[in-house]
Amino acid sequence: MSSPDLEQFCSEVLLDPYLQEKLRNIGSTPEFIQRVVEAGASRGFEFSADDVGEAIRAGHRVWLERWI
Amino acid sequence: MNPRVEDVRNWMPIRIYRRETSPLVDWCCMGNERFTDSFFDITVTRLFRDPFNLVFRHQTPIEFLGEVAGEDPGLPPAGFIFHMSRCGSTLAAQMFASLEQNIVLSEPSPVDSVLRANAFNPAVTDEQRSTWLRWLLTAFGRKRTDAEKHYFVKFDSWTTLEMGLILEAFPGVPWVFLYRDPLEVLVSQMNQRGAQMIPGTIGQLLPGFALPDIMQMQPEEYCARVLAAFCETALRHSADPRGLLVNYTQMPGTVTSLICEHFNVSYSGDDVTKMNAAAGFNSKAPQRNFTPDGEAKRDSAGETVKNMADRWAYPVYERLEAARLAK
Repeated sequence: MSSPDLEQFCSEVLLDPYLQEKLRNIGSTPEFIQRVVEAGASRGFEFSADDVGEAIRAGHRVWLERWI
Repeated sequence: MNPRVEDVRNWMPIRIYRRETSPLVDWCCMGNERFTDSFFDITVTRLFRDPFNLVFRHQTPIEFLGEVAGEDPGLPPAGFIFHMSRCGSTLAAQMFASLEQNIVLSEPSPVDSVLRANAFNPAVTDEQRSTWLRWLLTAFGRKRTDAEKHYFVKFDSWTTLEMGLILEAFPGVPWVFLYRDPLEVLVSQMNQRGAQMIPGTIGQLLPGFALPDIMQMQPEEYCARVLAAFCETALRHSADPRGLLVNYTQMPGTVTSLICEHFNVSYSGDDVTKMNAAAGFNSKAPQRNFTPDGEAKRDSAGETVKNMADRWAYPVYERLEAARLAK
C-alpha cells in the first residue's frame, strides 16, 4: 500500500468487527472510498481517496494474477 | 502481527502464495455468503464486488491455518469428489451446494497452490504438503451457521494425480471418482480446453515426458494421455473400501442415492427435491437446462479424436468399468 496511514488503518479495521460491519456492503465504490477516508480521518489517519482507489486496484490485480 | 483465530471466524482462506520462506495466506470476509457457485473462484470473484474485500484482507503465514485448525476444527469432510473432467462432477457439487446444510468447496484454488507447492519449491516435502492440506481443508470446514451439517470437497481434475497424498491425509473420508466415456470428454475438451489440457499450464501432468516432447504431441494425443493418467490413478485406488467409482451414465440420479449412501449422509424428501431441481440446470451455465449430450458428442468426434481416445484412454476406461461393475 502506498500510504502508511492507510496500511495502519487497515490493520485497525481487521481487528474491529464493528468497523468492518460499517464499511462492508456499501452500494457504490465512490461511496465506499468516501466512507473509508472519513472513518480513517476520524481516527487520526491521513490518506486520500486516491490512496483507497489504488488499494482497490491493487486488490483486483492480486486476485487476477493469482495463477502467475 | 497475526490475527486471533476468532478474528477470522467468518473469513476464508482464498489465496495461498509463495514466499521464500513459507507460503502466505490471504483471507476474505464471507459475510453471509456461502460457496454456492459452480467453482470456488467464482464465489470469491463475486465477493470482490464489495470493495471492502479488495482493501481489507488478513494476510497470515500458512502456519496460522494450523492454529485455526486446532482451535476451530469445524466439520470433518463427509466426502471427496475426484473426477476426470467434463463428466458431471460440477453437477454433483451443485446438487449438494443447493442445500444450506452442506458446505461445498468446488475446486478451491488454494488447494491447488498447496498441492503444487513442491513444483515451485522442491524443498517442500510431502509431509508439509499433507499438513498444509489438512489445515486448509479444516479451515474450509468451519461451521458458520447452525444449519451446516455436512462438508464436501470437489477437487480439480488434475488433483486426481495426488489422490494418494490426499487419501493418506484424510484416512477416514469416503470418496468418489466420476468418469465418462473418454471420447465424449475428449470432444468436450477439444471444443473448449480446460487449463489442464494445455501443456505446461498446470505443471507436469504426464510423468516421464519433458515439456519439449509434450509440445510436439498433437493436442488430441496430449488430452487423451492426460485423461488416461487421471483414470489410471483412480484405478490404482479403486480397491480402497472408501472409494466409489461412478460413471456419467449414472448421473444425476446416483447423487441422491448411491453417492449419499456412500458418504453416509441422508436428506429429507424436500431436500432431495431441491437437489434434483439443481440437477435440472447445466451446472456451468445455470441459465441453461442440463441435457445429456453423450450421443451428440460421440457423433461429432473427428477421426483424430477417435483414434487418440481408442489408443490412450479407452483401455483404462474399460478397466475402470470392470472395476465398478465388479464391486
